[in-house]
Amino acid sequence: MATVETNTVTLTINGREITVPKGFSVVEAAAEAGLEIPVFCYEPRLGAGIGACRMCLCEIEGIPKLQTACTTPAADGMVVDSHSARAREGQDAVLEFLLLNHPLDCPVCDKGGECPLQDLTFRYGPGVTRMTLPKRTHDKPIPVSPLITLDRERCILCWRCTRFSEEVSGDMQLVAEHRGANSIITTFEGRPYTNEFSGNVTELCPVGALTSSPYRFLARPWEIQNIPTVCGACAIGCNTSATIREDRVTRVLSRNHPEVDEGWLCDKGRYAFGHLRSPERVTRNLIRGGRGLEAVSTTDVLDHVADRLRATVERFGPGSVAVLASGEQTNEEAHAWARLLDEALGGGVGVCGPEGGSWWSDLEPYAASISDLAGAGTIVVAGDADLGHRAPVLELWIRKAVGNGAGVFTVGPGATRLDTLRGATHVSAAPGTAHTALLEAAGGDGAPADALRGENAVLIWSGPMRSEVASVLAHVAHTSGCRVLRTPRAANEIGIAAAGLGTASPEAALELAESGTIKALVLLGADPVGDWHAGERWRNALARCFFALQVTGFQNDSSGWVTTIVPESQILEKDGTLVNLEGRVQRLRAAAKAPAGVSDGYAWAAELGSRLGVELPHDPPAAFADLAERRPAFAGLSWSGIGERAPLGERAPVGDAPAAPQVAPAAVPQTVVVGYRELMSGAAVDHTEALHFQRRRGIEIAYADAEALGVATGDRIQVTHDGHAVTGPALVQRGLRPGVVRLAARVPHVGPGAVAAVPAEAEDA
Amino acid sequence: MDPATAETLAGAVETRPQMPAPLPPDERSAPLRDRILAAVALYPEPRSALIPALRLAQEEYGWLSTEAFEQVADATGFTPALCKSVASFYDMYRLHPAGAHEICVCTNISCALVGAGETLREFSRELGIEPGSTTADGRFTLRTVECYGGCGWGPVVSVDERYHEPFGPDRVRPLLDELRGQPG
Ligand code: SF4
Ligand code: SF4
Ligand code: FES
Ligand code: FES
Repeated sequence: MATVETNTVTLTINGREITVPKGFSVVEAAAEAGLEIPVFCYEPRLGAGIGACRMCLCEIEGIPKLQTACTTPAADGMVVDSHSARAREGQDAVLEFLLLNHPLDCPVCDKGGECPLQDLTFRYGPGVTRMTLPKRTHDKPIPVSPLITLDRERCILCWRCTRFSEEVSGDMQLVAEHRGANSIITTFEGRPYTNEFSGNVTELCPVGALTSSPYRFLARPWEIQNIPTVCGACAIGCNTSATIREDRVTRVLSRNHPEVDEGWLCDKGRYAFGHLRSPERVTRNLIRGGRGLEAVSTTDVLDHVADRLRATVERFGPGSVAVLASGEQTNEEAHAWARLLDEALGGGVGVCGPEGGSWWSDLEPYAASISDLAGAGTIVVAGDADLGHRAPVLELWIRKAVGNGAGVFTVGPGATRLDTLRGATHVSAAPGTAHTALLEAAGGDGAPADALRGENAVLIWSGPMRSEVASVLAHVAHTSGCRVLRTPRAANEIGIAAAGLGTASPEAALELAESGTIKALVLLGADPVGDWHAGERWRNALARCFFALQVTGFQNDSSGWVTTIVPESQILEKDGTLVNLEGRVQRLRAAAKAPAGVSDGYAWAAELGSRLGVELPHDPPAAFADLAERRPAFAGLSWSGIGERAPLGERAPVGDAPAAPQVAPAAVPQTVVVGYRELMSGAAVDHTEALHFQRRRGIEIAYADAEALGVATGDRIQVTHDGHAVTGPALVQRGLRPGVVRLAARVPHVGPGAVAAVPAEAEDA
Repeated sequence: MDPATAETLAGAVETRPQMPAPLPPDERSAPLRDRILAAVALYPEPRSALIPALRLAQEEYGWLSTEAFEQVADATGFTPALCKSVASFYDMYRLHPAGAHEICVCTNISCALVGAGETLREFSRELGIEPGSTTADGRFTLRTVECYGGCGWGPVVSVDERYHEPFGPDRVRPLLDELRGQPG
């Protein structure tokens, strides 16, 4: 049996000979061969087995005592039996022990029906308990946060949740206190678990101890349907399963795509579905008339919109209509609108999101894939804000890569979570100059330059994209050979640009509107007044337009300035495709039924098309086929070929060297304020109350500046920037560059500002 | 208590290395944060410094309060949760304020076999408190602990972090009398 081959081992499990790579544990070897060894604590995504639960006891020839298969490396010639009488006896005894204090309250437990403990109890264990003493009880339920509930007496102390908290997300907030049988899972003195990846522990917990609060007592596994779809809350596009009961989404679970999310979700993606049934959702078509907004039927609103758009082009000529998309529209919707603009409205302007432009697409030839991070030698993250706010799950990939030996460089004003990773090197750069610092570092001969030129280097830009930044990234990628992982702001910016909508910059569109060239504005999910730069100018532009239509899920700052409002279907209600930040085309499946009165976004656009004389394909699959025919980025793709776990297309060839970047030297003011868009923002979060506790409330201030002002963490400070003042508790950051003040803001902004302590008396008044 | 006082306590036998006695407050030159940072610098892994860091904080405050955990967390780069998780694993960190004298009785198996239960009951009776609590005057805290590693000389009792072994119930009264006679 022994071979000269050194990279594999061959062993026998339950009489089957199995060859596996060296380093596999017996549990992994068995799984590879399709043989089941019962486990609770072992979970491959948490790393090597730790032998905590003892459920995987097996008999191994030549070893007198039973061994835990999850901690025993497979070895050549090993003979394992997980079914022998002794192994069974051990497994049964362990199960009996695990149930000693377990309440066996399956009938009222949310995990019932999909619970590993329940399942294994049916197949292992004595079936009756010898425990006659009272079982241990605890207070219950314990709210670990507004999202997670702990029923402590159900816990079997497998340590999955604490290992996730410590090793995967690194937040170290969910821990075990005390020792042995007295151990309890807890946060520090009952404080809420605020990490944005917290919800993953509810999926990891193999029993009903940690469960999802919004899902509590809502459904039983036999009453639900799990619809495979993808998350649309950021551009990563984590694969999800939406649990549906009676047409409603009741929870969102991960659906492990090993190249995209490895089975992790952030809490925005997991919980923000709460907005779907918010009472504030727009569910009626509204037209502004003499007496304010009046509700009309879908047919009437379609007639009205078609009429107004036609009238705009008739009166002001072709090119007088602009579509501003938020970036969350499907490729099919974008395609429909692009065709409407081209074929019915004489060509118009399409803008995608406040960062707009096609700069992310310019980086296509250098694009990295998410899974490039897994084998990366070096990861450089540059930008002004935490990457976790822009593309959260990437942070978990980076943490894992660091565990595998990758080096990390962070370039920016500091105090991001990545700066403190083991072996991370921080290159301090004033806000707004991270790209300049990157250019300098990459062109020099220091450590960052070597690292970028080294094997498998990945560069990530964490911040709004501008043309100047894009040119620097392209230049650095071209000269050093690294790849760039793009982080567009919204779910489908790359797809929308590829579908031909949204190639103009917001600034250019605004100027056209101000100069009177654009006379009709169509807002697809976008709120330029509230969310975009120069909101006031957008407001004036909307007010002066001949026609302004808003397709939206919720009324917002722009709603008061438009003439027509149409309810928008949300991502979880749509069929279609999205392109994630790698360029992967993924399938969105309508999981929930939109509330009454809300038309499907694509169907509505197609209806509008037929009124404007453009025959659009009748449904998203047909639209995708049409898209594949017309747009090179989609060429060769087919709707049915995307599958449940979408593959990544071929990489575009790297072309000629891009033009040398022109970087204007920036004057750095004494106090510079960074306003960044935090993860827990946007309409979906605004209308999901359970998520609000995760918002960052503090204003980050550098240690030296806080000393100078005489403030400590928690003291009130006031920041003036971008024309307004914000007061909030200070969060003193030792790692932050002096002179920098950073806070969450609706409209990202970097610029001069001032900060002052707020005297306590002023606060009382 | 200084080592000399410990020596004079009835029948104190020092059979193994002792943890260094806490520094009296006036000898703690640097602020707590700096002392913790100095401890962190001694180890290749910051995590290894958690034990001494917690010890330093306990010296400072007498017990590990919310604030103490927050300070240790801030200085070591961990979270208060992780610090408390570590501290609560060990018996010699105090998660509650203790009396002027802390009496810990080992009730693990070896000591239990040679009468630790009686010693404990005697302490309980003499002090009028249950194990795990502190006398109303704040002078004595009585606790049970797991094995102190002195199993051959049980029952083992530690008084203000000094071992006394073997410690039968007959020694309870003299010890308390002596402690009561001390100032503080
Ligand atoms: S709460 Fe769940 S995941 Fe955490 S230790 Fe207990 S059983 Fe394991
Ligand atoms: S990381 Fe992005 S795609 Fe993944 S769950 Fe969160 S918001 Fe959704
Ligand atoms: S799975 Fe092996 S000990 Fe838990
Ligand atoms: S059992 Fe008491 S010291 Fe070991």
